[in-house]
Amino acid sequence: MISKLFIMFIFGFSGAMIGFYFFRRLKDKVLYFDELIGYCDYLISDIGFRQQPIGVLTEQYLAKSKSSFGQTLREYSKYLQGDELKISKKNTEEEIAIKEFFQSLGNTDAETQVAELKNYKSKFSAYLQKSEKLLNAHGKNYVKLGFLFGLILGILFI
Amino acid sequence: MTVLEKILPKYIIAMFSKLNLEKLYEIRLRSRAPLLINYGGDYKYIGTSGVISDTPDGAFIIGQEIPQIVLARACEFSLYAHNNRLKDGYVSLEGGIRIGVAGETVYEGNEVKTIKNVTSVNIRLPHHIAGCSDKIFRFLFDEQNTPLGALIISPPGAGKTTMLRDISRNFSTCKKVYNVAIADERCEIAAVNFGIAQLDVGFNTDIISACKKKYAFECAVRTLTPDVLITDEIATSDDLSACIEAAGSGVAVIASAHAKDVEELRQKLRFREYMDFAFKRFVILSCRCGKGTIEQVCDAEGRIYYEAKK
Repeated sequence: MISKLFIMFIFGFSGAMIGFYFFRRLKDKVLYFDELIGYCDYLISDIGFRQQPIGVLTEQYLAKSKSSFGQTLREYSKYLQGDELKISKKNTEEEIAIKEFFQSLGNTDAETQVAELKNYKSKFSAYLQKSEKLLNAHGKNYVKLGFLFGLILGILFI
Repeated sequence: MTVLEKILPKYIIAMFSKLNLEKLYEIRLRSRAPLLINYGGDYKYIGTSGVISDTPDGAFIIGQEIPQIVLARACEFSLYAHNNRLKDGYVSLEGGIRIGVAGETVYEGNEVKTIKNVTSVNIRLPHHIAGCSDKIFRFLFDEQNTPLGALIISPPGAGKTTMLRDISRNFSTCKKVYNVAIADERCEIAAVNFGIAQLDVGFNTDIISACKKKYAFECAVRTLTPDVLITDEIATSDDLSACIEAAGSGVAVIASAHAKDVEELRQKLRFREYMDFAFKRFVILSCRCGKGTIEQVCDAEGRIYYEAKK
């Protein structure tokens, strides 16, 4: 009996972990867009006044990054050294927008660049809102559903 | 080479591996045209294997997108950070390297906003020749050891800017303290890049760069009280009146101008009436025995202080 309970617990725990993984993915996406918007703000304030090179600004912001956005910034830094720009997979529309955003940096004068950054910022704010809605609506359900699904699998296994 | 490695594609850098970089003065990259360099004062074409020749046959052909890529790299992918200079047609880099840019200008109102669709870039590599002004330096003082205004005259590419830079270094490092101010409109003399002078202009030198000479002169005379004011390529009436005003304030103005000799300069009407007041010495340079050959030092009355052996 104890071993059966233990197996069910293991299945339930594994299911919860899988659910937690999906929850973290949603949460990380929210953090990603949050930091991306922060990056836009950072660029807007600097390009509007001090006008430091984009590589320097990226390095400075990279030190503060806590989400997978840091990886994107590292990829962007490599792109500035001449590599191809690789952006981690989000859904296609978002991925294209992020790629276009990074490719647009540094190609215009300060005034146009700030205007472009503001446009991208509002676009990313919409993505952030969408991700937050998704997280609030389904985030915790993923863990619960994962746990239940694990338990069912455990019962079927026994 | 490090700066060139940053901005040029690797295959172009590889072509320069056989060259003596000390003799490399210019690299001209034009869309769909042969790669041209100024090597030791002469223009040469360069082939894929790095062989230089006088004819374009076998020369490496620059891809259409290369000038644009080079400019983007030179601006560190941050065009906005360099746009103030770019709209004047150039970009300054570390080490005093200057890139002249040709392309399509974008106007806003009556002003150039930026340059797009770049078709060619001219990379100019500065050569600091310490001591090149030593021969003439003593002629730039009067009997009371007061610095005199001087005009460096030569055709383009004969080393005027290098000479001005070394004169600045000489004044600035003199035993007696002379405060030197440089009005570096196109960032060629001191090549200031993000607040750091890339070329040696001496330690007692103040540099006002990337602005009109008139503004720089007024600023310098009012606030920096220099003994010597250095600037290059005076050409417009604004530049000249700035020199006159500074000379009237008792500052020795040392400048450069394009001409073959003093006579040619005098024939240019706009120079005639001002020249003798602001400039007490005329230094004539040529490329006869290589860049920066000092042909003559004379004054407004025609007295010759130095003359090169023919």
